[in-house]
Amino acid sequence: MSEILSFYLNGNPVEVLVKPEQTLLEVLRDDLGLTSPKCGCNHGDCGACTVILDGKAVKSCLVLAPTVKGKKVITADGLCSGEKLHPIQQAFLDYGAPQCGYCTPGMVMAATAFLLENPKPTREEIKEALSGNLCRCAGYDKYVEAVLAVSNGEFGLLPEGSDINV
Amino acid sequence: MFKSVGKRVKKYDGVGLVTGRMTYVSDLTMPNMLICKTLRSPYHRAKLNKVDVSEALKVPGVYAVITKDDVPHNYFSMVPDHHVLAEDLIRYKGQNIAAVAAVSKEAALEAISKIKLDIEELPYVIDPVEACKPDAPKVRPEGNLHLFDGVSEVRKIRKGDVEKGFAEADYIVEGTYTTPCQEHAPLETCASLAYLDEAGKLVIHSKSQGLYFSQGDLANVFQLPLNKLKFVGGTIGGGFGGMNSIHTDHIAGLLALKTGRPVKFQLTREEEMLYSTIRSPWIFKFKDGIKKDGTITARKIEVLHDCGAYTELGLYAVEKNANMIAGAVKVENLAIDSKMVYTNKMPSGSMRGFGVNVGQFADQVQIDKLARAVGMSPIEVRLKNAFKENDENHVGNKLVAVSAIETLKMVAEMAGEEISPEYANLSSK
Amino acid sequence: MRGYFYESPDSFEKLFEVLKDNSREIKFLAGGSDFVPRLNLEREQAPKENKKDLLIINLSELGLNTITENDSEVIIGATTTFTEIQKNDIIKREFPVLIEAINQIAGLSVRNIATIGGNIMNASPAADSVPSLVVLDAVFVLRGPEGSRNVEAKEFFTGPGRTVAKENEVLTHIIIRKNKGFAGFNKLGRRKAETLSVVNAAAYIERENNVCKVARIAVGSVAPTVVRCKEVEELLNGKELTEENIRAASEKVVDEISPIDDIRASAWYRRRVAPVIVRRAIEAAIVE
Repeated sequence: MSEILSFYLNGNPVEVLVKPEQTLLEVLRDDLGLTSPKCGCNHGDCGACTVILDGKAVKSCLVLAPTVKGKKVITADGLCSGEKLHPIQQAFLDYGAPQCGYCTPGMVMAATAFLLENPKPTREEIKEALSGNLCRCAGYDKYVEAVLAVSNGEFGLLPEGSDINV
Repeated sequence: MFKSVGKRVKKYDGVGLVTGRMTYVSDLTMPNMLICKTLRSPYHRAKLNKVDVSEALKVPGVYAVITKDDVPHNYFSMVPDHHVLAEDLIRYKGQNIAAVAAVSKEAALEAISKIKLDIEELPYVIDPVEACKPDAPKVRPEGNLHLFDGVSEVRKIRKGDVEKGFAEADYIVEGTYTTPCQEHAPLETCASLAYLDEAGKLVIHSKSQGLYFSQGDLANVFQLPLNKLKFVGGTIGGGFGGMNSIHTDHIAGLLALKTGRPVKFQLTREEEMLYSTIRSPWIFKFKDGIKKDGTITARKIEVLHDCGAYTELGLYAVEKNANMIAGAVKVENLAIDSKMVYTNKMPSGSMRGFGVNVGQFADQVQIDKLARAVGMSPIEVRLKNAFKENDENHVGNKLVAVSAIETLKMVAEMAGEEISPEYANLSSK
Repeated sequence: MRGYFYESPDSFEKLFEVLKDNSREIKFLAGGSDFVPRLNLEREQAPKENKKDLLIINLSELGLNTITENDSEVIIGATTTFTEIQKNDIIKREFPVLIEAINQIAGLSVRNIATIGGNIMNASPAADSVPSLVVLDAVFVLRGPEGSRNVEAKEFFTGPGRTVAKENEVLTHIIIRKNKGFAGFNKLGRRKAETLSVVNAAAYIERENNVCKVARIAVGSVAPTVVRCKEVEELLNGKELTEENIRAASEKVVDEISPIDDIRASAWYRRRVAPVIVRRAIEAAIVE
C-alpha cells in the first residue's frame, strides 16, 4: 500500500509516493531519478549507495524508505553547487582517486560525514571510516591520501551547518 | 618537455565521477521501459523437455516471454557455441532458459514464477580432472575435451628434444600448480538497455568493454544486418575482463525487438557472482631439467584448463597461455601439451591477463624451485637463462627490445638482493 | 507476490492494537541493517506462492533510544544505535567493553543505523554485542500486551534466530548492573572491518591481588547460541591470573562448543581459534 513520503533532499522538500517495502536507494534512483547513489550489491556490503541521512553516513539500500519521513538526505550531487566542488570532491579529483568511479559518490559521502565528526583523523581512522566502501579497482590508497589532505586543510575549510545539514 | 609524464593529470571525466553526475549504463531509463528478468536452470546438468510460458503471459504487465524458439540464431560468443537461451541439454546451474519483459520488476518476477518447466536433473561433473575421464557425464554431446582445429585433444608446442634435454640435466624438478576460479565482481553489475529508434534500428546501450568483440556476434543472434544495429558503449562501473563476454545485451535486444518497447536487463549482485563468466581454474604440471650451473636443459609442461560449460573466451586464454607458459627463459628443448575440458560450471571468460598471469604464477614458483634444487639465488637462475635480444621465443618469433636482464637487475636492487659479478655485468643486448 | 504493509506506532497502545491482527506475518523494524537486505533479496527472487503478507512495524518512534542510569544500573533503550552507544558518556565510564565490541561491529555507516536491540533480537550466534552483554549479566526487558517481563541475557537465546520472546513481545530495554570488575572483548573476523565473526568472546573478571574472584566468559559463533563457558570459569575461579593459568583455562572452551562449517570458517578452524580468542578476551579484561 503506497503512501506519500515527505522528506528533504539536498535542501529541498520533496514528496514522493513510496511502497512500504522500498528502500531509500530505490526511491532516489527509480522514483526521483537521482542516480548519484549507486547500487552495487543492494545488500549493505559495498557502500556505493552511501548518503548522508540527518548528518550521518548511511547505506541507503539498508534504509527502508518510509522511515525517512521528515528527515534530511544529502547525496553526492547535492554537495557541490554549480561548478564549485566540495573540498572532498576536489581532493578525490586532484588525487586521481576514482578509476571506474562507481564507488566514488559513496566514498564522497562516507568521507564527508566522517570529517564533520572527526576533522583531524589519523590515517588508521580514515581507513576504518571508509572500510564499508568497496572499490573493486582498488584505489583505496588514493582515497585515504585525499581525505588526509582535506583534513590537513589542503583544500580549504569544510562547509558546515546549513550547507551540509540542511 | 613533457606535458603529462611524471605529472599528476586529472581524469578528463573526473568531475562527473566525484559529483555522481556521470551516467553509467545502469543509470539509464526511458519512458515506457520494460524490465527484464530471466528464468535460470536450477540444476548443473539437466534434460529440458518443455517450457510452458502460457501462465506467465497472463500476468498483468507482462509484454513478452521468450524461449530458445524465439531466438533467430541461438548461438553467440567468440567461439559461437553458447546458447542465448537453453536448448534441450542444460549445461550449467544458472543457465538462462526463458526471459520475461514486464512493466516492473515485480511483474517480471511474478511471470518467472509462473513458467512451468518439464525438466529432468542429470548427473553432472564440475571437477576438470574427473571431466577428462571417458565415463564422465558429457557436458557437451560431442564430448568433454575440446578438439583443437577439430582434430586433436592436445594443443602441442614442440622445440628440440625434451628427452635429450632431461638426459643432459643434473637435476629433474617437478611441480604441480593450480589456480582457482575468480569472479570479476565489478561494482556495477552487468546491464543493458535496448530499444528500437524512430527508424526501426535496434539500439543497445551496453556495459560491454569489447564493443567490437560483440557487435557482429549480436547482429548474428538477431539476424540483423549491421546497419540495423547500433551498439553503444559508455562509462562502466568496472569490467576487469568480465564485460568482454555478453551477459545481458542479447536478451535485452531480443525482447526490445519482440515488444517494440525499451527493455532494461541488469543482473543482480547474486546473478553476477553466481552465473556470469569467471576466470576459470587451471592445472599446470611442470617437469624441468637443470644443470648444476643453472642452465635449464628441458621443460615439459602439461596444462589443463577448466573451461566451464561453453567455450566463451576459454580457447583464447588457452592459446595465449600456451605461448607464454614457458616463461621468460631460453629453453632449447621444450614440450607443451595444453588441454581444455568442459565442466558443468559457468563459462570461462577473460580476466586480467587472459590466461597469461596464471601461467606465470606457476612458472615463477617453479623457477624458484629450480633455484633451490641447484643452490643458486632465484635472481641468478633467472639471469642465467634470461632471453636476450634477437633470441627466438618458444614459438619461433624473434624477440626485439628485450629487457629481461635489466628488469631482473632492477628487481634485485629494489629487493636488496646481491648479485655476484658474474651476473651483474650481463646485458640483454 | 505477497503484499507489504508498514506501521510506525508512536505509543505502545497503538503498537499492541496493530499486533491484534494476526493474518499477516509481523516483522519488527529497528535499524534495518539485517532485515532490509533480506527483504531486498526476497524481492529480487521469483516470489514463492502462499507466503503471508508482511507487516513491517517500525519501533523507532516509541522513544526507546535513550541511555539512563541510577545508582546500581544502566538502562539502554532497544533502538539506541551503536553509534549513539559508542559516544555515550555513561557507557564510556561504566562499560568500555561495549564500546570495544561495537568498534568491531560492521563499519561506521552501518553502526549509524544498526541498533543494539536489533542485534539482540536478530539472535545471530555471531552477534558481536551479545557475548559482552552475557558476561555483564545484562537483563533484557520484553514488553507485551499483558505487561513487561525481565529475562537474563544468558537465558534469552534458544537457537539461531530464536529467542524466548513471544511473537507479540518487543524488546524495550537492556539493563546492565554496574560492576566491580572489568570486561574485555575479542573478535576474529575474515577482515579487519565490515565482517561477521568467525569466533568472538567476552570475559568479565573480578579479582583481588591478581587472584580471580569472579569470572564470566562467553563465546560466540561456535554454537547455535552464544555460550557461557562454565568450565573455563571454574578453572579460573580462585586462581592467580597468570599467563599459564589463563592459557590452561582458555583451552577448556573446546569442550563447551559445537561449531559448524559455514562460509566464514570451518568447524575445525573454529575449534582451534576459540581458545585463542577466549584467552585474548580474558587478557583484555585484566588490562586496566
